[in-house]
Amino acid sequence: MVETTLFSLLHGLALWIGEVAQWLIKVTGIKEIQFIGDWAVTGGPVNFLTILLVCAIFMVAALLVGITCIWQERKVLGRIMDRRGTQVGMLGLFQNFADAIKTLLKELIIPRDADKKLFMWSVTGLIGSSVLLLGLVPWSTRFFVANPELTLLIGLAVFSLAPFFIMIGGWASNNKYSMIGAMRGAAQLIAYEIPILMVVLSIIIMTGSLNFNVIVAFQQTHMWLMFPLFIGFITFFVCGIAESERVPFDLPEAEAELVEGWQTEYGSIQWGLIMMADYLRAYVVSALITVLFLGGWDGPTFLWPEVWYLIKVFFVFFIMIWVRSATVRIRTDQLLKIGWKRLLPLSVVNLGIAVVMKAMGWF
Amino acid sequence: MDLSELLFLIIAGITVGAAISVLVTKEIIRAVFYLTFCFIGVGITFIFLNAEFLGLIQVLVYVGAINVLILFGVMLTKRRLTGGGACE
Repeated sequence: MVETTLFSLLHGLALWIGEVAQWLIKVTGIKEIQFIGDWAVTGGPVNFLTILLVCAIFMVAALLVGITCIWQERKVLGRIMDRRGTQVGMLGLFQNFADAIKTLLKELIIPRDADKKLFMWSVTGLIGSSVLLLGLVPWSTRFFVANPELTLLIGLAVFSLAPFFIMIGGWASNNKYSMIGAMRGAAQLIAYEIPILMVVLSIIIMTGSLNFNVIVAFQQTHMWLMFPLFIGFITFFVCGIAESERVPFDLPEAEAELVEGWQTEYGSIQWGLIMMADYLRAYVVSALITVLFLGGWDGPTFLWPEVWYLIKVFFVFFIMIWVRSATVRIRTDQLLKIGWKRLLPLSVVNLGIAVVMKAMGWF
Repeated sequence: MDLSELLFLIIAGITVGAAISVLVTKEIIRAVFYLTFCFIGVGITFIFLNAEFLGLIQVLVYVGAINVLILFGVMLTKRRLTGGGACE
């Protein structure tokens, strides 16, 4: 049985619309415009339009989930701090749009001594790489943009671009606080990328693939990977919080010491987009945890697989908010100690467990 | 002309242009920035040669690690920020 994917559904729809248009143009009887009807049913334009539509639909859906994460964080933090959280619109759902309009209306200020080209380009690169990550995580076997063999590797490669742009941005602002924040950010992201790669390596050993669909299919036939690789799950979760610069690890933008870290000089919509990129990265981290450890879209069939996926993503993000509200910011030496002396050995142990399980033939 | 051929020419042009810019620019951080585009262009060229794994590893290692290492090296040895006076 061939499953109806988003692409095939829209492709069929576009072909049908093209045929209707061709028929309508034939009915008019004007010979001069009949080439438009012939053009509407040929493979090239229909394919191209369908790919554009799939990208647009997936993009909007993923961005909506990303900003729902912001709303969720505000509401849950509010409840934990015994207040109501955001109130704009129904349940505070329109707060994000109000913020977007506010940041759009502000003046874009570039500091006089800043390196203007790099100041603009670094933030473009950061936001671009964060948004590119959205298209890589499939929601189910039928709702995705592209399904290449090396999806996981593409994701990690794009994820590793961020520290470079953060450092360039901090340097281009020409401000010592931005500079210190950028240094901290890059050091932290590089240090915590190594345990993440080791844990991902253990998953590749277990499932034998870099493709999200195969990884989830493996978990559907065996068991969710969070049970055999529990140590790796915890390591990945902590590293994921550090990679998205959330509270116990938000040294790069420690407000009390560094104003706003490397993003101090950015204002207006640039700041808004940087904040959105932060939350998009947090969403991608929770999506990765969901797909790699929690079985992705695996679940009882009374709900759609996409719904299971979203439930798990929001649950993981809820735990991240919980961690945020329960902990305080750690010091730089503690950060490095946790990263190099605790998480890296744990990820190596996890890798050993995966190798032993695979070698014994239990999976 | 074939579409992929055109795409390859564009990517190759960007790569070569970035490589020349690395040599021409005076500001060393900008040179590192152009070097990134050069590395990414080389990675995409590998993908054109049907070596996707190599291309992705190129981006992961060279852009994600080597470039940041160069930046750390440059920034930690530099004494003053651009423009204005000396900064402690």
